Amino acid sequence: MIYPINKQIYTLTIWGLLALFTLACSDDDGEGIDPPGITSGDMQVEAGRGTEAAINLALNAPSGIESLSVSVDGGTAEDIPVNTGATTQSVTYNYTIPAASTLGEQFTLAFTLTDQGSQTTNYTATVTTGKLIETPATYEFTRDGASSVFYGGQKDRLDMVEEIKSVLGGGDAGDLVSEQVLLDMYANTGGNGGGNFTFTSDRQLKDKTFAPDLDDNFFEDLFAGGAAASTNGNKGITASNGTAGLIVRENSGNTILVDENGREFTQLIEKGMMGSVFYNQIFNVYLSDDRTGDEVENVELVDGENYTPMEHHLDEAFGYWDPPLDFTSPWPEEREDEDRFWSHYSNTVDNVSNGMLGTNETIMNAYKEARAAIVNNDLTTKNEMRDELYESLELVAAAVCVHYINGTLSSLDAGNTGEAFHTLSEAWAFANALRYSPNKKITLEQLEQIMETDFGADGNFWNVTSMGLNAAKTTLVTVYPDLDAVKDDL
Amino acid sequence: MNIKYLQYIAICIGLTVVVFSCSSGDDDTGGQTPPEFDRAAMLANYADNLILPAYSDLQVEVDQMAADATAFESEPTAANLETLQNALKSVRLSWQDANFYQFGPAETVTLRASLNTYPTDTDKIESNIENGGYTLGSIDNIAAGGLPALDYLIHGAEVTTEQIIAAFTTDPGASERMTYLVDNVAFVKSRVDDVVNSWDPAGDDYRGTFLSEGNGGTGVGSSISLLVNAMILHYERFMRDGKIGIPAGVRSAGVPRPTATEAFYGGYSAELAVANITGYKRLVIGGSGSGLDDYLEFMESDELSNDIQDGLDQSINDAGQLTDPLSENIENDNDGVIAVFTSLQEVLVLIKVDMTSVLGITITFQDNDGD
Repeated sequence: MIYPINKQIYTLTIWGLLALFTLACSDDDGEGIDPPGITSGDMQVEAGRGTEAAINLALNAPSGIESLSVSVDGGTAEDIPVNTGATTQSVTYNYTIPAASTLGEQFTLAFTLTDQGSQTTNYTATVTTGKLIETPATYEFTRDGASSVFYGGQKDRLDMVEEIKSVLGGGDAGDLVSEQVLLDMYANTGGNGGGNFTFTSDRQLKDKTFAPDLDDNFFEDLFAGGAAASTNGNKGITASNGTAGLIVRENSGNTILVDENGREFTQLIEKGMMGSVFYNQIFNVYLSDDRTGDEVENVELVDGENYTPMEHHLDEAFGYWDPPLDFTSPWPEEREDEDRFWSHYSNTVDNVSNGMLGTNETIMNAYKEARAAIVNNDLTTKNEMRDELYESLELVAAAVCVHYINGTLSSLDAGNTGEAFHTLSEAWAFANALRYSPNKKITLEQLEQIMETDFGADGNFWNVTSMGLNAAKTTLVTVYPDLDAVKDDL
Repeated sequence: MNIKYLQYIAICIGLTVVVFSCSSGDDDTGGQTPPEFDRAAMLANYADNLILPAYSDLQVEVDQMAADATAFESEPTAANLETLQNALKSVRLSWQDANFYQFGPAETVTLRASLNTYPTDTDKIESNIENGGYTLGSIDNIAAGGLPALDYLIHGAEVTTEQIIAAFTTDPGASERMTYLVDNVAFVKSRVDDVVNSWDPAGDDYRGTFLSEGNGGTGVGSSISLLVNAMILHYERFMRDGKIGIPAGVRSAGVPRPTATEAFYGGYSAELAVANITGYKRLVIGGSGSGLDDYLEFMESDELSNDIQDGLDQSINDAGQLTDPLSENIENDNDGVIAVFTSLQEVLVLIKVDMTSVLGITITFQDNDGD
């Protein structure tokens, strides 16, 4: 029976100390009237930016409450309405956290209670900007119950590349390919690709192309070359060293149209656009400081839309990746037709047998966390995730390049030279895609060595050897050490 | 003690035994599960008693051919030519035991495509000799190098020994032709040396990788998966089709292609085919050690194992009926050649479908991205 006694003594001691403390701290003018007091459980309050943080205060003033004021971060004090003359009152003060505040930013709220005897007491609460949302399981974000995500322009451009690819497929099958048709589709003449798209759109691929590629007529030259080669293909001319024409892919029996150096137009153009438009836009536009840097507007919504400019820019970067909204690692085989272009190729290298590269999940998480961080104005996380995106998206291109180098080696080995020209064209275009990141780990010199020498001396696939392919592979694995463990399984 | 009490005790003991035996079965699986087939021992047998000796034998024969080519270059006599021709044949026979293992180092240097792409492109060879500036091993020259190119160079098409020697000594472009011969021998040697060094435990030690615990399973990329996929790809595309089917016209609407035989100019393609099928059976049974046949029998598929071995014996026997030059056999009695194709086809199904199913191995070749 000792404990209850001790407990009583303990409790009494606490009250005694508190009483002493209150006396010592109060602004006692010595008239003998008890000073006012503020008690509250809310010393530390957290809420999302733009929302109200509620601080509950219990006021008491034996001589009657005169006034209550609050000063934020030492600013001008403002009055809070009270019941003048009451001896006790419960007050809830709602502080609206500035919408522009960043995650973790703190505000000091100093409350001052004055009683009718002009005695005062102070109470300080700290309000911290917390998260508005947690990172969602899927890439879905709402504001006021409506979706705040839109990337229709990106979907249009991905659709355009699909339809360009299908025109090029005609060339692979031996049909004539019109240069003008390709130019019209590229520039989206008349909003319907000169009548060649199955849909209309006011977007285009050409004005989103990597500027130096535009300067070099990168795609225009390929269109002209492809169209010219298709006249050979149309005559059934088999390609050979120095002659453009058709090559049979042994696995399917289908033909591909290649240039005089053995490069397959369809791959160079389709994957070329994946690099020069899609990755270029992600890397040099939407993930750049100009669009998702800390200074970009992230409070006011775009006129007539449900998103801030910064939110929308990240969504546009996401749209160029265009995965299913619940994309992850590993991705079920029965849903493989739901990814396309870059998300499709991420999946190609995602779940390799000897330990996954797991790029689907890494990239998906980075996009989701970056987007949630933008909603929360969590600039640190947003910037970390942008770095992650630069790194992982680049890794996908490098991994897919190694994948096709391996494919080329095994095709060569199996005597399937038609397959080898196809896979080498893929490898070339994925190496090319590495050019577009401003943060790339590989150098332009290394890329030139891979694309113009290792993949066949003088940029001619007919000159490619296993030694060259292995040299390119070694370079990539050295620059991207994450590939080392899976380099032969990709 | 009354009887009921004894019964009670007996029941308790009985229950205890049941519970005990159940729990021991659950907790201590080590002693209870059926024993696993010792794949590691089988793989070690393949590495040490089949693969490494096959490459080593090939290297010995290639070195001999290189020496004989050097002798022919310095003294282009009829005797030295014959010695070189025999050396080439020894290399090609030796290749029949080394050509199954197109994974790892062999795939890395594209050994098969480098050494044995045929029919050889004689136009390309002649243009290379005339123009120079060729890179052996490039796609462009994939059908203009290796053993079939040497076959063409030192046997020639319907020419006498004197004419062959003249082509290397007195005809226009003779020295360039000799250079092309020597370059090709060096090319073959460099590829074979690369593969031998890569497998060598004292070199890159791919043997260690092949036998590592991490590659000891049956999944995609495991050593047994690589081996089985390579051997099935070889069977289908390079033994059944390459040596027999394609020359017999089964891939060209029945129109025979006698010049597509493996050693068209030397005229010993049937001998190579028999050697290859014989080597294949040795591969299946793991020589005198633990092999795929034992693995199948362990998996209670004795009948399948026997059927595969009997089928291969039948194919060896059928191929033994072929006569060299195989190109003439095709022209005179193509039905006999097609019979060998059919015989090989029967075994393929057993290996590719049934064997892989029993062993749980996924066929990974003909991997097509579909775009």
